[in-house]
Amino acid sequence: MEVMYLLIGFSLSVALLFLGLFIWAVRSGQFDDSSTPSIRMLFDSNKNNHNNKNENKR
Amino acid sequence: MKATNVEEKTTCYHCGDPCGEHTAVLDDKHFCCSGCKIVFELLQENNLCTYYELDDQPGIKLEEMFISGKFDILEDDEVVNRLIDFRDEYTVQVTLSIPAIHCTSCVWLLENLHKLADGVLQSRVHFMRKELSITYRPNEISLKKIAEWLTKTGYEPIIQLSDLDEQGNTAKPQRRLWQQLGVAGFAFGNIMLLSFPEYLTGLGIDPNMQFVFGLLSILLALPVLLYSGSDYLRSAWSAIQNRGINLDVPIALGIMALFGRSLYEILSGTGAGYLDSFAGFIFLLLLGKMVQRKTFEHLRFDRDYRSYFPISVLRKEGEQEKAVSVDSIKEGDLLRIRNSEVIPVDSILLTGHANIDYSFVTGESDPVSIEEGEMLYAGGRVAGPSIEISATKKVNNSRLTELWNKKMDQEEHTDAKSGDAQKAYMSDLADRVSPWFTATVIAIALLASGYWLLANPDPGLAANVFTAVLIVACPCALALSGPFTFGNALNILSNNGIFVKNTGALERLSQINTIVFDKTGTLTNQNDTQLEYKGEPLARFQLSAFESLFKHSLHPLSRSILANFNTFHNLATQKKGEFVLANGASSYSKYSGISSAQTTEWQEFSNDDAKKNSSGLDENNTTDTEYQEYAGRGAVLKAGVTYTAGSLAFLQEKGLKMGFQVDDRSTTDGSEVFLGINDTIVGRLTLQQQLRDGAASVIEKLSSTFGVHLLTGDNDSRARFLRPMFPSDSALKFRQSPEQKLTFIQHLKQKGRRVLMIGDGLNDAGAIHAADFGVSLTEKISSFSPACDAIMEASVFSKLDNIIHFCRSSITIIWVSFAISLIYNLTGLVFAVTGQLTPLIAAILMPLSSVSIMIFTTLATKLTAKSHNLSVWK
Repeated sequence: MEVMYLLIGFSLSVALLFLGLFIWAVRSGQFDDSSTPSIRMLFDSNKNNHNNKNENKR
Repeated sequence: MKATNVEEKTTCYHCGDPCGEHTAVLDDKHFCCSGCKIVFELLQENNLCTYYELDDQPGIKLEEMFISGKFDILEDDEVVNRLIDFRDEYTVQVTLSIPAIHCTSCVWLLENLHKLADGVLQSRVHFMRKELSITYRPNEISLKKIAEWLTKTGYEPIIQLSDLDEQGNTAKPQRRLWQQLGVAGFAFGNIMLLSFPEYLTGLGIDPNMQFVFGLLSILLALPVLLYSGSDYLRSAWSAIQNRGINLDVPIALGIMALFGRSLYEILSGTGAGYLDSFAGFIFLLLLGKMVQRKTFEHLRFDRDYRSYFPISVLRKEGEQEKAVSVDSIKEGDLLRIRNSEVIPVDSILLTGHANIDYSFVTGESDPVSIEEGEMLYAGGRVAGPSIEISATKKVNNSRLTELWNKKMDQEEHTDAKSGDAQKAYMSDLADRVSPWFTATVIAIALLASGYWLLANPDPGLAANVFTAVLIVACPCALALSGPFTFGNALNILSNNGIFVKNTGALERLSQINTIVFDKTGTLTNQNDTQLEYKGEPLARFQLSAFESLFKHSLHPLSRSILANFNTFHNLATQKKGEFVLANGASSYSKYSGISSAQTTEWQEFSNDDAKKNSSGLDENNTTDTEYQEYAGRGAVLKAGVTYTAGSLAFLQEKGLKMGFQVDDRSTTDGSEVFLGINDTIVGRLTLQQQLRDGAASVIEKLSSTFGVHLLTGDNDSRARFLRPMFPSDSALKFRQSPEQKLTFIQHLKQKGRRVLMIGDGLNDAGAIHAADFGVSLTEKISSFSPACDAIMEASVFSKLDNIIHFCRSSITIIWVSFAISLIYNLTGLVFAVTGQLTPLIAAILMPLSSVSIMIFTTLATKLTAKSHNLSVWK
């Protein structure tokens, strides 16, 4: 059962890593605006590439 | 906008308005006007037509003529420095407020600003706050150019005086809450995992391991106590120091009981502790706080006069005119204020004559005539040609702002004196319940532990029971009921066009029993006037002449007349059907709305230069015409025949004689414009501000439950008309000064009434602030309104009674959820008092009660909204 200590140790470390990442994300301002990203999601990126691809296919 | 009768079914590709006679066409796309077409061309040139694909007809029609020089003030470095967020060697970042942002396309276009304007590096929209943060290179583009680009595409940035002194970062406290939530959630989850052995006691875990788990749990719980939960502890401590008990006191008690008992149990090996409930409790509380905070992202409520004034004004410096910041105005400065601009400081009129609209300040709907040498007061709007003034005071010393500040001081003083507790401390419902709650809990704890102490001399059991009672009586559900109910209620209200400041305000709203209405702009719609014509029938060419006269005039009444010209035509020619104006349009629909600035420099020049050749009669007409306006009194147009329009006194002064019957003069209750041809007065136009749609029925519905009154700064010309709308014991007071309005409200409050005041102007500001709940009614959310508890869109005025009843229901919902949480508490108490509160039971009860309260309040508010005919979704 001693392996439990090791496992708990691992899982806690991973969890701590995620917590650290979360706090970093908050500090870098990623959580400041939770409404606009949902709109930005709808944009096409690199629309020009799309058009180029279509033209090549023709 | 008045719809035209001859309506083509096509709508503008850009903005969606119906295409009338001004239609412009390009590439077989139709636009309602050349303005929209120009924006389309601009976007097309720059490959930005995705704008039209993301949303339907997302364009914004440019209502106002683009006044060049509007952003000249941004050339002033000092002003720019006060506006920007930060600057480094090569780049500058600035955040501008753009109220026109309303859809996906807006966000897309604004974030692609760099494709339109060279020098802009990137731009980022904050949709909720309607702001755009721009990073640009100052040596490639100026802030002024950026502002102009934005305006050209329909997204005009609104720069207010209050933006100049904005300091501090609102992002910080929000980030802290996220971090606290993150830490609490992390600890909660992991402690729960470590508590599994405790839940599954049958498995016989190695006690050493349990001890280690316990230590780990303590380690995880410490940051929760010291960081995530610290705000509650601090708040409780300061409340106790002030001899009060708010909701944070029982919360703090619960926190300390949980942590303390768990610490003892783990370290002494007598138990597993309750750290999972501890972390979970704090996590849920913070979640409630976050939900509450989410609802307040949008509007700024602390508007004061500084949001009303323009940021810049034209100052005469030698021979030149320079745009300077309003803050820099000194006594003796010579300023020029143009048509529809706001006068920023108390001053003396230098021009011969001026027409000033003080409606926002005094409520008087007719413009006031001012002569040379008389005083002008800050807050008035120029309703005639531009004027020159000499400043006598600085911006913040003007009579208006002093009045404002005096109001605030006076009001707070009165509150303290009369012991009016309503406004003096903002109490949350839960805060008020707390003292009882805490007292009861402590009493039960003492009783139970006392009983056990007597029954069983082992002090351990007594301590066990004592702490158990404190733990289980944790007001988790209690603390969540308020935020969740109010959060949902506020969201629903926002979807229905009314934005409430905070939950304390909502609570006060539900206790209202008297409502006071303002008239001008509140009960009446300033953009909706009804026109009547009495007099001799007019020929078509005569109507054309008058059309030309009104088109030249800068008086607000002229705009109203042009907006209703069709009606004028029908009445004057006694014919039904279309009147086609000189340029082919069938009505000047764009003239509706007194606030739209129809003036251009062109019109000003044509006014100053009386012998201008322009004529609206006929494009090919070569007759010389002469136009002269006498500000505030009337205007004369000479085109062979002399056409006069204005007040009766003005026409009589000019020697015109009555040419038609005016037997009903005494019953007129509206603005009048008399018309004359050569030397005869031929007719009279009457314009009446219309009541808002549904105003009468709203008052009727409200008067059955509430006392209703009317206070207005306007004259009593419409008293006859308004009286029957109100019950007989209502007070209708006219010609009220701002001070009188304030006194009336205070008087009502002294009689024990709870008052709601609804108004729209600065003249209502004192009264709105003094009332228990103040509502600012506004046509445009983004434009100024005095400081208040709620901002309401004018279009939803007819739903006022639904809204108030909905708020009352929300309070009921909160009481019900208190009752539900009480059930959980009692259940837990049964376990606690009998000494059987195991960590497992605690861990179940807490989240269960919280989640069920969350679900209940959310569903209940949505159902209540539906039953009151309020829309639940946007």
